[in-house]
Amino acid sequence: MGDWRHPEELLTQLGDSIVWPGPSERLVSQVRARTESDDTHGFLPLRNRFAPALAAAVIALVILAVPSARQAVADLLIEAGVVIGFVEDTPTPGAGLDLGIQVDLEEAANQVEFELRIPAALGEPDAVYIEGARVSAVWGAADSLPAVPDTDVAILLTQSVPVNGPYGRKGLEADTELTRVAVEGTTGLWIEGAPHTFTLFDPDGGPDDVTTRLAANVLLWETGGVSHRLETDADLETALSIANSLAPRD
Amino acid sequence: MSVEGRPLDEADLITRSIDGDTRAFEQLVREYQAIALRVAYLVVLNHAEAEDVTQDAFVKAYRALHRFRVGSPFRPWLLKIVRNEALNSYRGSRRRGDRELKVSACPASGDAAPSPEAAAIDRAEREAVVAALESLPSRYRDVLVHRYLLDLSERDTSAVLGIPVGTVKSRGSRGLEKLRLILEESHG
Repeated sequence: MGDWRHPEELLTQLGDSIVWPGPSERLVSQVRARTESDDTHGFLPLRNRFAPALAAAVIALVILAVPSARQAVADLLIEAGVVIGFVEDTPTPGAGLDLGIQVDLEEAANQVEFELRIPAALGEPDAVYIEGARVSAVWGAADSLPAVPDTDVAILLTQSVPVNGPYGRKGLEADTELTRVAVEGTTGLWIEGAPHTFTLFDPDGGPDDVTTRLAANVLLWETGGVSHRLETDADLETALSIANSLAPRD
Repeated sequence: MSVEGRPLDEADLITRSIDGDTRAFEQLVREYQAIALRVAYLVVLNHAEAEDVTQDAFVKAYRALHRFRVGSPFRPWLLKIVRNEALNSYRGSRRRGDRELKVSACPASGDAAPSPEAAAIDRAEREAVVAALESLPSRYRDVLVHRYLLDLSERDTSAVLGIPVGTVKSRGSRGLEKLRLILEESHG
């Protein structure tokens, strides 16, 4: 058959021979009708209108309120691509976990540059989601691991490569406690206390990458160039035992 | 639509769309619907579903325009939304048994009609390339599909797939090599 030495040419020829869906006046008119009747265009939730302006001031407030966390916030979170800030209110817990596209573990591992790891203490996750270069693995409730209230999730482990600039904003309430902890041979941060929201922003500002979800206690750390975030209703000891059992997949 | 007799440029259209000008947004839809439909089709492999997905993606983009940075490239931003919408649709329950890559049995327009034997060889060759693509790990296949079937630049491919440009380059290079080896092993 053909000359396989130039697969790029074969691919281009294949692209030229695909029967593509053609431009559609129906599509244009339906988009027009839907946008003309759209009443959510340009709407920013109150929380998001205020949060950016408050972020810098609130970082300082959090640091002042919890002096021991100062170094952790400065050195760990911003390095890991996370910025702490206020939110105006807390959404209803369990409103939904918009974690991206559901994939199987193998596919997720294929899609990211870093080595995806799974905690041996938990085994294979019940579900895996991917959004860009961020992978979220979810474990449902078990006898020893209760679900986060109003959700069906006991453990949510997110792994991603830190990006330049603010990547997320974490809203904290006054009675939330921050503790520096040792995890996987490095320094991590344990956030425990009042419910808080977590809003993620894609570096490009893509709409599918904005997520608000209930977070329980959160363990944050970075190792091997990968940011880790473990969310659970379990205590610190349990969270650390899970984190310290992380291992490459077989 | 024009300003002082000149066509509006893309940034103007986007700015006006952000302000709620649906006619300006309609021009963006007309400009980008062809490539958006293609991106959607290569995920869902169904023409009708690709059109539904593309329509939903345009509406979603319109609602999200207030977070788009005017002046940055609009096309990859839009295509990323389209791809995500298509992936979500694909993973849903719709049209499970009605997906196929439609490939023309005829050569591209402008070429002379081949002999029956040559046409059969062309067809077998295309089938072999599709089979080889399907056997590639998705990280390579995604890059090759966007670079060569959709003819996107490395930069746009990077933005749509959410991976660095350097990764697009390396996966593209390795993917082509793996594709060549698969084809040679399977078909000599």
